[in-house]
Amino acid sequence: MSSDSFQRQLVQRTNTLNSSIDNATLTILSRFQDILDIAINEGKDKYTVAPEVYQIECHTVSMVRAVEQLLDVSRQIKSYWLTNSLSTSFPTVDYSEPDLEKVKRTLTKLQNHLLEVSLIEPEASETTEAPTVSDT
Amino acid sequence: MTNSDDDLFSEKSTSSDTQQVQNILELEAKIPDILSSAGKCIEAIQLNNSLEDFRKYSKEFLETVEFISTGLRRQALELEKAEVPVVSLQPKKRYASTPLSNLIFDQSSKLM
Repeated sequence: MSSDSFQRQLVQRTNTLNSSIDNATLTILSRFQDILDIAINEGKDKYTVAPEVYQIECHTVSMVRAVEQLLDVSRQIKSYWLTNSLSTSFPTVDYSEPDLEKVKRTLTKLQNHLLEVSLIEPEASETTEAPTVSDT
Repeated sequence: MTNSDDDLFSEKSTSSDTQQVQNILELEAKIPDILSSAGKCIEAIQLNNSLEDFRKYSKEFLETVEFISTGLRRQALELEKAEVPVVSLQPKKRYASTPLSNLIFDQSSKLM
């Protein structure tokens, strides 16, 4: 990955997060204002108050969703910092490798990635010939 | 161990990331306060009909919203400054779908 592409991705992520924060904040403030505009019940009959109750409920739900959006943004940021501390290296398999033992070891590492399994390789058995006694 | 591994597991980067996570946790704990302070404002108008209480709680509401939005924006900028990679979740573990013996057999067949 080139440096310019990496920087572009960082800027794009920052813009996306800021956009989410701005949208949620704007929603919270506008819905709060809408609720306060119709909160007072003095001088109103029941036919006016009844639909306003539903309006207040809708605005309240919208505020709650905006707050949940802010929680989601904070969760995303938290996950970025947490994954920054972890290693994301991953073994790759080169299928053009002619050495089958090497391919086998790579596949075993791939299968046991992050499982903390120690690889035990069998020791090469040494064949020793018994000394022959020649008759004189 | 290479230099990149040393940087990856150094105490400095770990403590910095931990501090950032703690800051985010503090922000996250205050986010629900937005709704509670908004509720107090509405109660001051509807039930108590008190303008002084309304001003008090509305100030609290606006300060909370400002604190949270500013804090989250700052955290987003910190991510960019620290050049944290754009990886939100750790990649899933991939298990071999077929036994290794079959893979070895297929590879040896290709080589022949």
